[in-house]
Amino acid sequence: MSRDVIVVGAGGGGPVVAKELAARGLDVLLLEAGARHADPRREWTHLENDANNPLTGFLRVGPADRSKPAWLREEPQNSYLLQASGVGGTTLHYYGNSPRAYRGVFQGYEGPDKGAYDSAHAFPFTYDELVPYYRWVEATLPVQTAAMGVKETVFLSGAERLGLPVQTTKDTTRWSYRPQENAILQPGGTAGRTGDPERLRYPRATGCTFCGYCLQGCMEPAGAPRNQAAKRSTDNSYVPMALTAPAWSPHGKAVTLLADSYAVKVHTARRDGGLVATGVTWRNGASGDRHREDAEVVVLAGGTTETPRLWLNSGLPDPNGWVGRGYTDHFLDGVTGLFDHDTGSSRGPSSAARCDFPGYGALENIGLPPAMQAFSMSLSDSGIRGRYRNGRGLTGPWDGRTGRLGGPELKEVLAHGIDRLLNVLILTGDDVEPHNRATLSALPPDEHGAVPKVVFRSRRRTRRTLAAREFLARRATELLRRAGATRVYRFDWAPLLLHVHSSMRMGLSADDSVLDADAASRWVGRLYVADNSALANSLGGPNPTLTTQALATRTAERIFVRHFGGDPWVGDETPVPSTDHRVTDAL
Amino acid sequence: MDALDRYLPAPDLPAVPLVRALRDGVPGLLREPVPDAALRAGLGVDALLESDATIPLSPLVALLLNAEALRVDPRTVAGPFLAPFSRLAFGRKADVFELLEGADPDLVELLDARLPEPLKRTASGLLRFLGGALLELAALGGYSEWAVFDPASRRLRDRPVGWRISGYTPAAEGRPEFRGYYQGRTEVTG
Ligand SMILES: Cc1cc2nc3c(=O)[nH]c(=O)nc-3n(C[C@H](O)[C@H](O)[C@H](O)COP(=O)(O)OP(=O)(O)OC[C@H]3O[C@@H](n4cnc5c(N)ncnc54)[C@H](O)[C@@H]3O)c2cc1C
Repeated sequence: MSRDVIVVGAGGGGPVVAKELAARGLDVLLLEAGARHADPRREWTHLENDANNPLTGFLRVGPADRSKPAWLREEPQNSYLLQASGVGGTTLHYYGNSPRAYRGVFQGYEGPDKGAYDSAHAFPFTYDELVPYYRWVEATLPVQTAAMGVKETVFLSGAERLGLPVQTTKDTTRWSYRPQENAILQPGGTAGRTGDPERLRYPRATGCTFCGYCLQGCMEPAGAPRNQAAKRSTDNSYVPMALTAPAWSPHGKAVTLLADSYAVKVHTARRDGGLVATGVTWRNGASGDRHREDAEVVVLAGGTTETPRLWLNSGLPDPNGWVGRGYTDHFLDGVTGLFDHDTGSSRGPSSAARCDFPGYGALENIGLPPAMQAFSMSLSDSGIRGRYRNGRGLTGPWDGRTGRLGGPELKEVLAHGIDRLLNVLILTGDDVEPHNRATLSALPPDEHGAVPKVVFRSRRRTRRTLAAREFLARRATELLRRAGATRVYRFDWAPLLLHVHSSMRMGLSADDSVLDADAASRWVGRLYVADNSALANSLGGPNPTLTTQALATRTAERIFVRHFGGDPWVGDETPVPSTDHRVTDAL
Repeated sequence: MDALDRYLPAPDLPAVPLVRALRDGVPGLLREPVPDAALRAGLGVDALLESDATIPLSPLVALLLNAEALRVDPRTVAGPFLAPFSRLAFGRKADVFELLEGADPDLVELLDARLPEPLKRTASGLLRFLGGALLELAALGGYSEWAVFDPASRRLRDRPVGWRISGYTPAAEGRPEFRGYYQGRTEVTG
């Protein structure tokens, strides 16, 4: 069997390429290692352990059959990879926050704060080049201004008192605060207005019902067709479009989607003196059978950890040693304030307000249910507060030293009330550094080959990265105090790997990048990357998925023009939103 | 410990050399001598080595915790409760995690010497990972619903302790939480 295009991975990036090329009439095979998640109402619950247990949860990284073990990734340090396999990938977990990147991380930026960005690892084109693709994705998902719940009113009251202007554009050009632009449908009808499940069925309720379960996968409102679910994870947006392409695109051809299908090898051949990708072999998780198909073009989108793994396990070339290197993670940190009044922290979409500090990074509010809340206060590189510091224990405007809350203190803080605290997440604009990387582990291989190993030398990050994180922790503390917090904790998180990028980076220089400016491999023809790993850097701090999806749209267009003799379309045509009734009807 | 098997990714470690390394090496790392038989019983190593089954991760982790507990206080080798680690008060348990996260150079040297290539030099990473993950995952599990979840019906038998402690109210399908749009703005462009 021979396809036009094989896409490996149905997470944040892969389905974008699949949908765009299916709309052009190409024959696309989309392979996903994890579960299909075809019927969330039957397969999922809203419960945290049932969803998020890293070994057995329905949103773990593992095979479709939950009785089979999860897939191992080695982490030789205190760190925590938080990802999901299955159709939707890690967007099953994600919060839908969809800011654009900062201009300073693109080629040609000449602003006065130029030195504040990782310009040595800039995108190999200008910000303006990406804007039409941002617009296209924003209309497709769609991205909308977030509605507020109680926790946003508290966060924004603190942000107002930082003396920053409010941002009323999609482009971020200066320090500012605003409600998020979210890939979450705004509440309509009874949504957000009642807790009565009888009154919250689609179509009486449309869009976000404020349930507070973004992290456990979105299947609200009850009874909604898949493409009308509130959160626009790709299982609810791009995948339904890819599967129904003939219904909404004049030349559309439906994508073939195979779940439980783990790509284990990318095949290549020598053609006209160069190496080109020719196809993929994958393993079916249920039967253990291996299958191979050929394709004109292969697109890798297994994510920042798995794409380098597949590359290396396939024996693809790595002449400059940058495959897997330059892994960035926003060096996240958590700061939590305690309040004497209701903050609504566990209620509503997880994050709907933010502050941006171009040159440093961003802050956003994060509401969590109790288990994730306890987890977030137990993650630290500074030991247990009041007990030991692990060589750190940072001081600042927060109360006491940084560190995780130990058993008794954790209980005391949670007993203060999950809805009387407010979390601020710190997104650091971290630098690309070659020693932070995904590579292959020496532990015994699994059925898909050598397992990946993710190495972070967190304490040896660049001075700029460390300074940016400290700056943001201080702003977060100030925001919480101005919003009325009576006590503020800073945890000094060990790497929490959920915004992960740039391990197969595109770049200006062939010395320190894997991909060229079209996201094409520098060393293998007809091979592209379309997940977060293709990003040139960490965007300066903004949440990555929208930018990955804009870039994947651009990559799809480049593939269509270069290999299939087509014309570009972004900027000329009007995008069909993924909520379009033709998609609904065809599902 | 039971919770560990449910939470920790279980690498297929060469367990037997690790268990032997701890059995033979830990006595030399203690502040006070402990009789050999008491130590073997305290760590439970004989039972582990006798069993034919591959050693799962949780006993291995328990073994590491207990070895470090003996380092913190050799008197925990015997007493009430099941094992040395559980005989420590909270503050001394924290000392165990300080050693793990450290990563305890004496224990690292001991383990690395016994690990076969290519796993030599992986002990410090393993201890650091465990030091963090054990605490994080205990919190995640402890404040979740797993203790009262009935897998057959996929319903809860009782209100989870973590919900009670934190005053958490779950939603069926949604909540009356909508507070409008900031400054009345429902969309932005440009
Ligand atoms: C709790 C949480 C909240 C988040 N919130 C936000 C947010 O608000 N905004 C934002 O922008 N980002 C957010 N993120 C990050 C976001 O989820 C990622 O940026 C995005 O999912 C990355 O897309 P990806 O395609 O790179 O990888 P993934 O989404 O991880 O997808 C990769 C897919 O490929 C599959 N795969 C891997 N290897 C193979 C193989 N060999 N063969 C077949 N299939 C394979 C995987 O199973 C997976 O489904 C959040 C993440 C988490 C965990």
